[in-house]
Amino acid sequence: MTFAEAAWQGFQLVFSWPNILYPTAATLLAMLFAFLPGLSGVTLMALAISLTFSWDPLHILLIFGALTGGATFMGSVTAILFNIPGTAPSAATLLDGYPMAQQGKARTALACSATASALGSTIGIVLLVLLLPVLRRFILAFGPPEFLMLAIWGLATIAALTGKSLIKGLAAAGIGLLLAAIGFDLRTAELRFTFGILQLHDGLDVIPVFLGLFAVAEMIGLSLSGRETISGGVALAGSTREGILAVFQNWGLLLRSSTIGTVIGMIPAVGGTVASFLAYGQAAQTARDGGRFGQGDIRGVLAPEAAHDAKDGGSLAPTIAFGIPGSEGAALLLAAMTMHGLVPGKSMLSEQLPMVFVLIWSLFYSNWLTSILGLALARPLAGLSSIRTARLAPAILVFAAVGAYSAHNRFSDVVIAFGFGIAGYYLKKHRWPSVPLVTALVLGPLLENNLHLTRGLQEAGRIHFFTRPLVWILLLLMVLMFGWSRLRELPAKAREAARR
Amino acid sequence: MTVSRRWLLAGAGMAGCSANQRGTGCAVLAGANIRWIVPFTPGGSYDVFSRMLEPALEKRLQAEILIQNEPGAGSLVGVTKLRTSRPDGLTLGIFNSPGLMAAALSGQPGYPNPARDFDIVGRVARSQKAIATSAQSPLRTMEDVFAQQEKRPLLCGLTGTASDNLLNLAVTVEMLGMNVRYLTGFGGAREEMLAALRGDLDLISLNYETIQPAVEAGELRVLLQSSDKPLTPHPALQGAGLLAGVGGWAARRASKTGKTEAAAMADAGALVEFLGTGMIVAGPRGLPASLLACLRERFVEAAADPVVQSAARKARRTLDVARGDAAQRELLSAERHAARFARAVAAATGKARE
Repeated sequence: MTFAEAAWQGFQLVFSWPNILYPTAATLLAMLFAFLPGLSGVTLMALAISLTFSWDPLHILLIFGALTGGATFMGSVTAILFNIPGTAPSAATLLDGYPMAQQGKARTALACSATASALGSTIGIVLLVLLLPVLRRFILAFGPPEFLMLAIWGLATIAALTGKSLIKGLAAAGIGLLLAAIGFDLRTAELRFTFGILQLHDGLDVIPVFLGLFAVAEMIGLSLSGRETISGGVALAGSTREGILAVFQNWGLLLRSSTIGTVIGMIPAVGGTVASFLAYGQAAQTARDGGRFGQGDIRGVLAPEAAHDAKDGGSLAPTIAFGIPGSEGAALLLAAMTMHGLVPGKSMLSEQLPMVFVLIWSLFYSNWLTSILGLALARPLAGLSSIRTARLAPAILVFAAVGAYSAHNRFSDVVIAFGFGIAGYYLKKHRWPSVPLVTALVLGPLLENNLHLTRGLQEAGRIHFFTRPLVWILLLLMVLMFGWSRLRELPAKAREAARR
Repeated sequence: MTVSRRWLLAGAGMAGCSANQRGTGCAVLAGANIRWIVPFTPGGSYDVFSRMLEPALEKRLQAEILIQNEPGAGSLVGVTKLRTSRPDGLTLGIFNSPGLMAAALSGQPGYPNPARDFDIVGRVARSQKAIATSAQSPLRTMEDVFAQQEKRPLLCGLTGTASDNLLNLAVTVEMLGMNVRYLTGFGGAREEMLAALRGDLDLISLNYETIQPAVEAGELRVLLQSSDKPLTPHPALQGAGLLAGVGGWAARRASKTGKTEAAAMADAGALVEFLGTGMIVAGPRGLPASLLACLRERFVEAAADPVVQSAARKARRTLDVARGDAAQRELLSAERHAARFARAVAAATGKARE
């Protein structure tokens, strides 16, 4: 069976009656679960495993493909409207999405997010399909040296995210790296900065930290500021059309961010949060006009959204190619597949190729369905940003507490969220940027572990850092991006010099 | 209206009977919500086995079972919650007993003793450990492994230092007199598997269920099964060596490590027994005797349920069920071997830190 035949057969299996009901129901349920505090797409997938023991494998793929994609967009809705990251990767979306809501442009941000999600996931799926014949080689080309370069690249983008004070930005990044060092040292198996607290053994979980730094801190600030609503009485401006157009006007950024998301999704254990922050960082770094990142720049919504959704396609790659899950959701997909006799790997990529396409088409359909619903709901959802603070703040604080607790059923995470909420409020009050802190917190473990593994493998003679092509490609990309950000400043500097 | 003495006696008898039923056995759980703690993330073996058992056990206990994934600190977060909950049958859980015993050996504080700190309801499956490499590796058999180690140390991956995977690797390395070097720092099993596939690592030691999809997909090759019989009849395991038993690699390498064959076989048998204590379902210590006895019965019945058996077969998971009292005896017996493994674990962790 040719590739095209398998793709067509997979298409027919997904888009036929009554099969289409399965991904439709799964997508709607995933959206609902992602929107309700304390529940998530992963919760739904775990429940689905128990309930579908006796189901047909085809229906399992239809459902799990849709569940993989269905929850992603809804996390961004709460991020844009209320500064609550519904999922950890959505934290990058709120950096500019929420300021847009404050300016009365929630509708534009939501429309941009929905469009970037749909197109990002489509690009991710296209890249996945194009790479299917060489998937194995592509994934294995990434090892600790390449992960190390990705971490360095991500940390280097902090220079573009420091806001008005470089010193404060770098200090915040340093604090982020220190916070990332909390927990079990994988190299020596010793505990660092845990103070005997069991819940800190695995380090700080990013979800309560994000909920604290963004949602709780914002609600404290909003309550103390006396603003009556998030949009501060500003008339709800912006339009769905403006949000959609922004994506097409920045098609280069869309392509770059989707590629970053897909590639990172393909690498197990790096994760969607890294993809979103890396995409956000490169968007800020390559913005032709310098941009107003952190203050409501629509490209700050576009880039992480495209990367986040493109990652879903990429994360299927190691699961399908090797039977090694790329994320928590993919681990559940793998469990569901093996429980129904579907063996991933070479045979799945040859003998069961139509089933692979069922998974891919189901993911594609689910991503578009969420985005279309998101576009349709952008207007009423945007209206939520004009709820009065006196009503909104207590509700958001409760949502933040429930969200922090439910990630691991731990009360200590609620304490962490509120602790970081107070810290976040003071950081903002004294104009310390929080973006470098969270970027460093996300990338710190990636940097440390892979620095150690690279050194260990080099010492054991298993790798040679400077003879790896991908290391050079990533280095070149990094230099090009830095060069570009310097180059774009030249005309302004020249004008300034001429004026003097 | 008069009530005859006979009716009064019968009524009192029935009331006594029903009170007795409510106060003993599983009747106290009828209609209740039981929290079932899985100290690992969703999607892994412990989660999957729990979800397989859930409906069958719910039916037999007439209770609602709510599975809670509470990962963290190498299962210590969830296991501690299970240990410190009230012994009323409303909190049960599943844990990796050799993993907990291995963690205690490595000197990590706070790890409970699986044999003594819990009331064991039953064993779901035995831990099946395997030492594997990439299918593309030149190491095709254990003979290749021993030939290769003469030229250079074999690079082995480690995830932390408090696990049964480490214990299996460290004890096997010592038992077979292998020349290895350890590389720590891998975040989990999937990172180790990918490192093996890239050819960065020569050997990895993991649960067979974790690597099973990659083994059956022809990506990883099992070199040594930490067992005295094949872990599964799957053709992918044909040619993979056995550690224990007559003709196992422990016995074959006895002369290299200065042991008699009998002593080497006893050591390998002890390792298999230790690892075999497996996946345990338990409640906190102090469950009422009648409730514990009933839970043990219902657990065995649920595991034998045709729906559970069929799901396990479909998922190619090997159930190896034991009643709680038998499983607890095995745990106490395996505990005796812990001291003899401590030296190998200490040597491996010391070497890994160099």
